Amino acid sequence: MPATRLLPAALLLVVALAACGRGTPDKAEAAKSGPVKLQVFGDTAELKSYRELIAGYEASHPGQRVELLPVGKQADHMAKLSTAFAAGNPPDLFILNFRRFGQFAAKDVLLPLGPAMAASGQFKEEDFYAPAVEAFRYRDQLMCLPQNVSSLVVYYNRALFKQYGVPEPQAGWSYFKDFIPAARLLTRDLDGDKRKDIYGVGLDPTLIRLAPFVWGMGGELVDDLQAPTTLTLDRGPALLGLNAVKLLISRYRVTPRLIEYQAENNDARFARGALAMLFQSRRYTATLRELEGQGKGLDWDVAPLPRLQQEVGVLHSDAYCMARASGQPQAAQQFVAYALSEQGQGILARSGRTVPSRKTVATSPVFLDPAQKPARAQVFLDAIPALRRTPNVAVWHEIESKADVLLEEWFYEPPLPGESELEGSDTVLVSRQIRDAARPLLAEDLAREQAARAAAPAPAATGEAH
Amino acid sequence: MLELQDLSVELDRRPVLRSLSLSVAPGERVVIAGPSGSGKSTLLRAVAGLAPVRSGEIRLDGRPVQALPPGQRDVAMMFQSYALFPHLSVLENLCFGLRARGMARRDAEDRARAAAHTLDLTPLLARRPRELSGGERQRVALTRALLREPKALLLDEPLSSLDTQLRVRARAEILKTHAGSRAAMLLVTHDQSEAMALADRLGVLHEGRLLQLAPPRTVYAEPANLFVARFLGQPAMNTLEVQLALDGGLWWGETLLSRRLVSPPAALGRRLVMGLRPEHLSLPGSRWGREEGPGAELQATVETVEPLGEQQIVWLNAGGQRLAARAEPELRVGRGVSLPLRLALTRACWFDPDSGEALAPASGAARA
Amino acid sequence: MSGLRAFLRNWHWTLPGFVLLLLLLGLPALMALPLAFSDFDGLHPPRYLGLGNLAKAWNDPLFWTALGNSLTVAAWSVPLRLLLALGLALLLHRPRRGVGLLRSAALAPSLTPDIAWALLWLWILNPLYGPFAWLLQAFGIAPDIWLTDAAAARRVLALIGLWLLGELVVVLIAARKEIPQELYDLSTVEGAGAWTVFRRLTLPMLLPVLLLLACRDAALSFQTSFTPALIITKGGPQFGTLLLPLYVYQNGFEYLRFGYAAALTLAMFAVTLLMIAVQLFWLRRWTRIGA
Repeated sequence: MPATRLLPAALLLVVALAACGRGTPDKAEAAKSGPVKLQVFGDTAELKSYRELIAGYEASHPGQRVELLPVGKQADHMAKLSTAFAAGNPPDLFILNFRRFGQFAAKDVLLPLGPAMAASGQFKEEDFYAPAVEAFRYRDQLMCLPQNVSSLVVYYNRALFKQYGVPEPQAGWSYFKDFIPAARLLTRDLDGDKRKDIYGVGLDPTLIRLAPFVWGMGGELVDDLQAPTTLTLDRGPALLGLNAVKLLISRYRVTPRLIEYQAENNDARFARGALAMLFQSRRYTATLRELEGQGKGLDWDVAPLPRLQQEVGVLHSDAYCMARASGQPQAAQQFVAYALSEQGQGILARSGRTVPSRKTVATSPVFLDPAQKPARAQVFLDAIPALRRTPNVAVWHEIESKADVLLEEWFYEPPLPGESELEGSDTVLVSRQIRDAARPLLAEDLAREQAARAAAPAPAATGEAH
Repeated sequence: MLELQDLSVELDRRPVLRSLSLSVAPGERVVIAGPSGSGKSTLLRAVAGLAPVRSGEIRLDGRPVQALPPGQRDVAMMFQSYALFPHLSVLENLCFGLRARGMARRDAEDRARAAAHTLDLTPLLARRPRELSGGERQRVALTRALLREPKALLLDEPLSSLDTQLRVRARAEILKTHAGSRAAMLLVTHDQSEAMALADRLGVLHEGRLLQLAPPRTVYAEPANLFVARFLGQPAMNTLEVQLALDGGLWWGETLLSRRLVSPPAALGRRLVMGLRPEHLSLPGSRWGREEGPGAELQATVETVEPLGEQQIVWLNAGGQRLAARAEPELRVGRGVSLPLRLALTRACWFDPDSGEALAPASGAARA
Repeated sequence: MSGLRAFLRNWHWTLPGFVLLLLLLGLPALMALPLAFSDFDGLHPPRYLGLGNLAKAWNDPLFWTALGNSLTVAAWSVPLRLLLALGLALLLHRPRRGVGLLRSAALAPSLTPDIAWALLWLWILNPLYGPFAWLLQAFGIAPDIWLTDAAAARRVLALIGLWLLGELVVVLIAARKEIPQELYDLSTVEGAGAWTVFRRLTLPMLLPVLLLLACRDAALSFQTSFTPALIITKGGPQFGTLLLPLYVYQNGFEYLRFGYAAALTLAMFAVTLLMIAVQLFWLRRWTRIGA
């Protein structure tokens, strides 16, 4: 029977559990001595590498045990996590993407791992890439410790480039002068049925994917990264960035149409060899390597984002977070320390899915293994200094999900006849719609923030040390 | 005029009606009685077109109809449950058939109101079936069936869903309602008193065969065979296996019933089955069953007495055979008393012990 | 009234189901009630807001969009589903060779987990490779219309919902079998054609059941449309299939607005009650006219 029929029930169960479970953490601390619980999300390959990580930890730390709570999709991971928190029974440790991190950080349910582990000497900030570390700082406190520092790059099908005589992307290549011409050359109708069989570019029209284009033209997503009050996509440079992306479909038609996009997503299309270039993060490398294992491998590599006016990238990072309610903070921190050590980071790096956040591992052969694709793995590291990020306010995820609906419609909407003169008017419209949708959310967030500050004038960082 | 000729019907490859012939004149009431499973309902359904005919012919006013769909046969049927539409008022129920045949609502209602007026149904017209008594339902159903003025009217156990109290009145209603109609009425029932009361002619159906078809008195007095004899009458006819001696004497076992039978029903020396209705056994002192002419006496012991008010049934035992006799209610009969029972031999029916067929018209015996 | 008396005499038969209902639905629903008047993110203790959540819903254009979408989908799917179920029930009520198989087939989608058939539909509806696209093209309709046109997407959701008619078919078959055969025999003898029999006998006799099913189905369609909206259309395009339960789910489990989600659930409950009240009103009227 449908899960929804139980929706009210589930909602209320949350409350009920909250009522029962909200015991005093101190009491729980003494009583609890089971394994440390770690909740993560990811596909089977990722989960496998987490299991290896845990096995490595338990082997090197006799007597310590970590239980993996695996979830397939990030959305389910978040739902499970939030209900577990509501029930007063959160996992000790869990992975959070920085775009979802604000939701939890703002609620004061995370134990700031940075100060705690720095104090015990288990964590040194300077060993890690700064953009990733900064993303998990909330109200001047480092709440979670970054596990990786991925970013958006261009995956390209080298075989197609060679076949059609298109020069391969170079560092510093230009969006208009190099990227778009390449995309046009690579968009092909092979059988003359007036339908493209190969497209030049795949780009999911979501806010997080479009952000580097906005920044690249000198625009901004929000008025203030620390305390945003409004989205600023409707301001000049940001509009130019969005328009530059829209050209891919409206003028050059080098990217799949809506029907094709819905029938087969860009990841699958690239994997099939019918897409020459794809904007994706590091995680896609694991997918391609897996295909290779199945004998369906492509001849592919990665390239930096093409340059608009400024060189810029968008951060993708996940971090280990710890619940303030954890019953065994010491054991949990010990595991995090291992996971972030050269050994632990190496295990995860070998899966191909992550760009290690620890500098020494990222620059080591474990990550830059020349025998493994992508050959130009260095691209990920070169991008790090220019990485920018989205704000970590609690409502950011909600803003993104609302904006994505509007952006997808905007991107795939065919231009009305005679509209070409007004090219970009729809972009103005969508950016205003997004701004208006986000404004009440940001206002609500700000109000809550202020209320929280008023209620607890002292920073809520006391009591995390033991 | 409804005529059935050599009608055979099979259901699930099992013969239900075998070569059945009968005719019902306009305005005539023919009642077919039979135990359950004898094929009564199937007979009606075949005539109505609801059950397929295997062979034979059904004619209405000379026109063969067995190939026609039920709606075009011009027959009406009243079902055991009356089949009144629960969601329609009495008036709408009455109009249903006329409306289904395309008559305008106003005309149909006028006709229904007229019929209802004649049959005192007017106060019921606005009601729904569940607001009617059983008797009222029956009258509505019957009126509805006749409203179309069908050539044949088929009634399936019309009284079986009524209380015993109501049945007698309801019988009268059927007679009254049908009296004004030219429809040939074919009624089936398992209830013999109903059958006797309603029939112009009464047929007895057994295992798909029509055993006898005659006016009810005839069927009662001169059953065509042992089955009919035992089926009609409450209690059933007493039957004794007797022997006709070469000298004309009638023996029942070791008991001589009659020295010499006037106009014996069969060749001398034969075995026979003698049938006597309970009213033809007379207890000593009873005024009932006293017949002039030759009789026989039989010593019997009273086993039980059933006082029924207007009469009493006395069950006796004679040489191991159970016999029923009727007597007036005033007669005092003691249980266990042995008494001489008088048999009115002139009223006896005679049957072949092997085939069960009647041997000679009982009237022949009566004449003797 | 006799129905009520019969219920009072036999109420204990409903006890096991009633207890389960109370435990699994009634109690949580009751406990959700105070949540609707609080701000609760699952992480902090609930904070009393009074009518704040309801006021917020009143001013939330997406709530009204979602409500409108849900009502539209129900308005399409409930009558269509009922009609189709009625047709199937009338086809399948008679014992015939193979009819058991067909009945099972009609019931099967209702017994399949939502997610399973939703994924199946996702394939059927694939605008390039799915059979539905081929069908649409045969009618000269763009195969991706349900991805671009909000109204078309809602219709597709209603269409998907049609397959959940198994329970309706079962109930209607039972109801059809309850109609005495003699009424049909009489109609036949009286010369009524198939259409007259349906219109004057079958339909009015089934009407009370049909209306009752419509009530139940309307309430249920608010919920059964959740999975396809989540999996297949994902609320789009342009919030065109953002249905109320989906919006509740997003608010509760994606945005951690449990209080608001509870308030929306409360609103959904009120709308459902309203719909049932309206239909019961008609049920009363019809049954007074009808049986």
